[in-house]
Amino acid sequence: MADKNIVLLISCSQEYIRHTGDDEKKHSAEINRMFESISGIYLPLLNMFASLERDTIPFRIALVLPPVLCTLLADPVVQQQYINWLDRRIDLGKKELTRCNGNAKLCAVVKLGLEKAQEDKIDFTTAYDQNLLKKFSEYEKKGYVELLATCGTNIFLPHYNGMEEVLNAQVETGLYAHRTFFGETPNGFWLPELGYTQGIEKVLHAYSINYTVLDSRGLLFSETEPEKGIFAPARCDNSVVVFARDNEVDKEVFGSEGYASNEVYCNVNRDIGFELPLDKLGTYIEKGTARFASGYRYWKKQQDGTDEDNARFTDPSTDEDMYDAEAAMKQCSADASLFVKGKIEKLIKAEQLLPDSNNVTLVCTFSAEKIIQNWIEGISWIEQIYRNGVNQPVSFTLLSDLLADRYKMQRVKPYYSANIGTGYGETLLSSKNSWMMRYVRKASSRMIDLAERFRDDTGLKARLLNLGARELLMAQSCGWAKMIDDGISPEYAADRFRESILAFTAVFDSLGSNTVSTEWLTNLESEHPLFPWINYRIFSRKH
Amino acid sequence: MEKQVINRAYLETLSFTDLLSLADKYGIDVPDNLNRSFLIGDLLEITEELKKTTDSDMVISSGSAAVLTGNKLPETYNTTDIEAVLRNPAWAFVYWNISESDLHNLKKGGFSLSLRVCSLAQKEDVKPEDTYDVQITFSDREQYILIPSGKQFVRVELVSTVKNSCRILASSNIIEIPRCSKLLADMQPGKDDGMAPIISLSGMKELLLDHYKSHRQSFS
Repeated sequence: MADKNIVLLISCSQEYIRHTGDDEKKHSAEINRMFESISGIYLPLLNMFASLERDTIPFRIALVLPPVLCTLLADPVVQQQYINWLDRRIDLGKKELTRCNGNAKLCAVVKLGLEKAQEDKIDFTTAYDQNLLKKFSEYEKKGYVELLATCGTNIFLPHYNGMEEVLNAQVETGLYAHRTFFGETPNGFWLPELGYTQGIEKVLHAYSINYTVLDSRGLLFSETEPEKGIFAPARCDNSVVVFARDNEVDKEVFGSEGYASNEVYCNVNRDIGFELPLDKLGTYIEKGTARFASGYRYWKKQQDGTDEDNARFTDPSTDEDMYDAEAAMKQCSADASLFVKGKIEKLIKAEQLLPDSNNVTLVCTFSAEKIIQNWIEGISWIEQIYRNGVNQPVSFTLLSDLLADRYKMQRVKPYYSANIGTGYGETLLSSKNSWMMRYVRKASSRMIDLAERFRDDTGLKARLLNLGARELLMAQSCGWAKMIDDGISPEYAADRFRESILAFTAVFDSLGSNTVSTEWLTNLESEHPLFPWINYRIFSRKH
Repeated sequence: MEKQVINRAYLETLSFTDLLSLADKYGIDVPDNLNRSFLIGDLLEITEELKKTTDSDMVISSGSAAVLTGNKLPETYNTTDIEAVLRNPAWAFVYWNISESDLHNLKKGGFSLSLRVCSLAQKEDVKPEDTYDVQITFSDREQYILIPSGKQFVRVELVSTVKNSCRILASSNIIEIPRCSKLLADMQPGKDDGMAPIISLSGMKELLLDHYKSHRQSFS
């Protein structure tokens, strides 16, 4: 009988969105996304680890915490901003209690939001001492968590195929950041948006990476048919191991009939931050700035009403409309049980089809971004998966535990694939964002050239080059293109991309004219304290 | 360009507010209780440090370099070149630049422009196996190109034509088209004969269906 394994993996992503002073208010909607993630993903995850550990529930989870996210989480300025943000949420909750006074049921839902903000503040400041990374690292050391490294920024690597120096620079930056934040050399590497094209495995191998994860197309559409389907890893020609994710999971969870769509769950779109008149939101959202979520959501995810109903915000007036957290938690447990049952059934079928295998595995990946956008109960559901897995014929395992027979694995040449667009990343090169490509690739080739020509430079030139390298890494993040395509703060994303390209161009011109403005250089260095240890030579050609 | 020498004599002439502003410029974190002499000491230290690492041949300018480059991305880098990026295994994204002088000459000479999509048998081949042309205008700057089916390497050329003569203005990088499984290459809706049960259990049918819905006109 084969061991049946489930690997659960949560991938997080974050753009470098950090603003201070007046800009903090101006860009509160964009900053809000990061803080929503802390409250909706990172704190609940750590709380989940503590709860499962306390109850001696066996759990193992793979996590991708990208360098930009770690930088922001470790930044004292951002930490303080998050605390202030929680204070504003708490104030808003108190105002809401007053506004909803007279409706006991509604007040109970308001209290949920208020208590969540209060608990988040205590957790963040007291329980985790504002240092979430340290806690994640502790759980890794205890063997519960496996942290996969990823690129320096959220680059879609296939778009840089043929620019090996760019791939090297991004991988090297990601690995250096990983060691800086977690003190460990990673074993596995997460390709942003699971973007794979032939040759990426060579770069991973050069940096001693043992394994990565692909969209199932990568393995199933491979010229060589994978003998064990997605139920076992395979290896590339250079023995870098590739796991295929179970693509069904996206549909099972986030599809129109998916678990997250159950009407009992909270309707994240009906947030008072989007719907209440501004004068009722106090100082939470400033007049003239974009609206953003407040965390106060009172509606269930039932069928949307008519346009007329939605035209004006009304508080839910009946039990049918109102969010019931207790019912949602019960549903989480039931849905988790169904999920586990479905996966076990699938693994049993695979076991029967693969009688010679010692292991059959399903890799289930979840995007933190999707959870935040669709399902506030998402992390509770994941916790219930572990709880429902107790005494079941399945183990929750880590990817690195499945490498034992690495050199006996089938060799494959994975196919071009991604987990975005229609499976190939097309939305990152759409009619809305294709204009970015010429600039970022031009800057990339210029950076490679500069790294070669100024190979041994120090002093101001090195500072300029380091700044150029950092701005380029930021511009290479496909997160901006994604925001533009998705219509999420598209103007902001376009501006940020432009700023980085212009900053890089200024570096290029400064080196060309042998002139530098130290004021500009120092300002930008302090404005974007990302990768302070960067060395522009990461873009050098490897001879 | 203004070049400011920072030494103790100069710093002593500044007001405390000016010193604070200078400290801010150099990224010095000034505690509330820092007095003037300490602040001057810190500034001298950091400027001394800067001098050590400053290249003697680099000119220090005042003002913002960003201002020098403007706030808009350039329309063109004044080069004539073309690049191709694989958008998915069936489509490539191609973008190009034409230098001002080339553009002037092309317009003056009555040339028309096109993209020539060249399929190559081997990456090193100069002569294409097969080509097809896409007409473009002088104002076009990018185009999605359908990759001929069954080909492994593709190069795109920017071509100018007048009467019967044509000239290659620029050639793109060569893009390699990934080779796929037989099941994908021979994909037809409902056809799943020859699919191993473990592949089917892996979700292949659903993937092929998705693929067919999204790409039936381009993958074949």
